[in-house]
Amino acid sequence: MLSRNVQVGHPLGFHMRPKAVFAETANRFQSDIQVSWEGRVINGKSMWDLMLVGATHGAQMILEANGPDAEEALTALAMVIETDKLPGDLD
Amino acid sequence: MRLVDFVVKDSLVPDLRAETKEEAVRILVNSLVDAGRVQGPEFENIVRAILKRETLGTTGIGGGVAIPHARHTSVERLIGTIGIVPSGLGFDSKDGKPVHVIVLIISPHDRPGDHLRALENVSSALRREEFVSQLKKCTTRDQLEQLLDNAPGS
Repeated sequence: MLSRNVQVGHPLGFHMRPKAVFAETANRFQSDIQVSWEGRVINGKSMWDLMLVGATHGAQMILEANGPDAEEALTALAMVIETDKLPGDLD
Repeated sequence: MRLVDFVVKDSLVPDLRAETKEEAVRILVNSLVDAGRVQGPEFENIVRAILKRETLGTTGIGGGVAIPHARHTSVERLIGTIGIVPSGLGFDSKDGKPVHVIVLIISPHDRPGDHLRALENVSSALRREEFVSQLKKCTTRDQLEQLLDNAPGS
């Protein structure tokens, strides 16, 4: 299993749109993906479960991936968490 | 930002009938106007903002639930309402199923933390099958209000 510490980059925090992008991205990989935040461990492939992660801008999380493409998965998912802008952002 | 902290009880819609996502959003925002929590002249702008948000990705997160939302300058604090759709409504949900519970949220631009906490609490509440099942059985505003007041963690 590989893990990576990440910090939420979007000014609005880990809101619904990045959660959707995160879940879609995570589901592209074979590896199991988990997100640890404030003592919770959440299935990163489930949008439903990610809804429980109310991480604000600057919050720290740990991403974990377990599987053949774990490294690629973490790289892609770290970008989703750490970006400060999403397609469709107006300001 | 628990449900009871922001849901406007006078705007609850226990028997929402709509053919489209847009219609449902209009009914719910209008309900907030009627309850005096949204200014009438802002109605169209708010509806448009919520529908625009839907084009970026559906808020139908599955499990028969949708959480349409937008930020808008006209609200000073986060407000919301709940619509129960007895016959179900297509919401382009992630699991392909119709929604029966719509929690609509309007938040001010400068309080992203409140917005996140509201989403977290709404999701947490709606994960409880029994709570959702009870919500779906409500046919009057009083019943909905009582359920919200007594819901664990609400």
